[in-house]
Amino acid sequence: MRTFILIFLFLVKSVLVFATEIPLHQQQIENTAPNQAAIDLSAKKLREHKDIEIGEKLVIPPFHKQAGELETEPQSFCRTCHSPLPHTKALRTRTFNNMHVKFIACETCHFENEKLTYRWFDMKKTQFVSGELRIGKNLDNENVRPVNPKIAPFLNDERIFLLKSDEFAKQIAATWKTANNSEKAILHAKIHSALNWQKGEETHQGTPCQECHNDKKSKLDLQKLGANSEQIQAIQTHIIPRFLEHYKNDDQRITIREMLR
Amino acid sequence: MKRFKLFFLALLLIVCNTTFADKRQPDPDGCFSCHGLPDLKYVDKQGQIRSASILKSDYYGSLHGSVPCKDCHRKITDYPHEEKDGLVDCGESCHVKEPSNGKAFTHKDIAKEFEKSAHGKGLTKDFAAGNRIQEDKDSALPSCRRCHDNAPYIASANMEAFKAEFSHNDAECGTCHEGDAWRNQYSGHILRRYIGNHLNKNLSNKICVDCHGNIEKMAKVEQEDTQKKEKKPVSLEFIHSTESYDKTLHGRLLKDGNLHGASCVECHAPTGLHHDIKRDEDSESSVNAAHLSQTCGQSNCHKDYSKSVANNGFLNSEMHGVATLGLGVETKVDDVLKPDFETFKKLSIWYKLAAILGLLSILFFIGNIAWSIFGDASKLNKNNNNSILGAEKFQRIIIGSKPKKKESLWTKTKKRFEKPVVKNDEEKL
Repeated sequence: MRTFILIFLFLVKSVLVFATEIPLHQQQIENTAPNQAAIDLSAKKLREHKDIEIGEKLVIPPFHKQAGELETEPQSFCRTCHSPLPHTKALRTRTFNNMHVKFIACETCHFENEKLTYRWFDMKKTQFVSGELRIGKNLDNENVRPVNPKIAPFLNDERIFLLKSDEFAKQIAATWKTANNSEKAILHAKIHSALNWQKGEETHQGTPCQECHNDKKSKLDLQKLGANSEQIQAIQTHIIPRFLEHYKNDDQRITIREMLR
Repeated sequence: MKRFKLFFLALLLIVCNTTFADKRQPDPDGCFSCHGLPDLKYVDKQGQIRSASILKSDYYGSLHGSVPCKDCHRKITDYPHEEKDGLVDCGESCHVKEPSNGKAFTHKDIAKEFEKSAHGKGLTKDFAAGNRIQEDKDSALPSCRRCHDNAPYIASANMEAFKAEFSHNDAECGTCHEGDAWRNQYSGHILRRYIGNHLNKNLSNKICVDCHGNIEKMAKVEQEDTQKKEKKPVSLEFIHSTESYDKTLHGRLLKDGNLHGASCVECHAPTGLHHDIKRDEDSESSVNAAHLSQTCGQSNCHKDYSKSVANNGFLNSEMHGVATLGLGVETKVDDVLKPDFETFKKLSIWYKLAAILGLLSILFFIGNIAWSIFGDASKLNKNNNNSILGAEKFQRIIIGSKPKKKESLWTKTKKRFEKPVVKNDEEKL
């Protein structure tokens, strides 16, 4: 009888583990049926998309010394298609957003769910780690940040995001290769609609800067992420997000003096 | 006492003001609020990775570390920046004062000198990070930024050695030059001068070799014919200039770490601001034939030797000849064989002497052979020393006897082949 109970418990646990191990993003992709508007939008994006091949270094060197290499071994599922510097269009914010790519997982900004918690996670070793927040008075941007540990979203300590090494991610990559344009549009819509599934939005606009960079109710529990009081204050009251708040539309240009006030 | 206190306070205020006024303010416009952040990058439409991050420590330790951003990127006032507002003109003056004369620092004179040089069609202004790719595609001409970046005072490779050498710096310099303000403003300048050879001969040569070492690229260069004003392909010497330089003593010394070898600039732009590089046909060029004795005779080089008329040939040494490279050898041999007086004039005096002596030697040799065949060999046998110069005359006039007529080698040889005279029978008996 005792053996029977043990086997039963083991099976129950296995089923539960199997159920919870499926990342939430995958579940949503499988369950989402994108509406026609979302599919049309995806088709339009795919039509207009132009692959930008990253060029070789120029003969004329950059005048100011540059540092920091791009991710060479990306683990994120998003990087199956997206480049290491994925934000290209928004003139005002693309560099700031790309800066976050090195230490923030895509889904931290692009996957909406109020129940999520955020933790440092090593994408390569697929394990929780104690990360490193580099911000404060004496930040030296010459120190190259390790790329694998990222602040990533979890639901009940289970990762909600997909990795390239996941079977499901591999299947999608294989399907994409053989799909025709209309099939690609549907797949594109499914993947991206699932990111904002709670809001039911067709696009996948990221979290606004102020959701993390505010001193009232930050999306991230900075203390749990290892920030000291000085770093928490530096992140929450950072001058750049406050400056960017002033913009009312995309074409607006604001004098730098405004930022320094 | 109260007056004294007031006077003392006023004095303190003046001193403090003077000190703090001089303190370096490298970022008065707050550009590092954004540009000091790491990894501010994006890929532009041309596929070029663009970085807006300026490495703080690198910038402050660079040649422009004291220059506020807006001194170069003058018109930037708002964000997002427009490219036209950030265009850099290297000939503009900046707010840094040249310590020796207190005037605003500028590269204007260098830009002027450069514009008159053989490279002068290259850009000295309108630089933006975004138009690098365009310049790279459109032009092979050197521009300020093609050759120079914002180099650090101390090259990163030398930093550890520098730290070890200057571990005592703070104590020793600080003995007299107290206060951060003074050191902030001048220490970089002094280090630059003190270290001096940051841009040593090998590094300076590297700038030239980066372009001139690209044989394929150099082979496509066209130069304007000074007389016909038409474009013409460049010479083999031009194309392979860096290879031939490496074969010279100058190049080999530098390669071995011996700084006695002349660098490119030391011959091609030895004076002024070292940007006045001109083609050798140009009468103002330091490597024009008319100026070679002066250029080679610079102090610490071939001083005195090259200025002596007797050593004129030395000045005509081929510094960029391709003969040693195994290129165009046939052409060179043909050239040498051509009886060209112009070429002869260019030869070293040693070659000229050798040519004259060679001709005389050939004459003597031919004469000797002719005389030995057609001359009177008996004279040689009897009186080797003076038979030609008058021994016969002496014998005939002074002694009064008739010299025996000598048979020439030809007569003797002829006799040998003649049939012997057959005597009559009586005589035989």
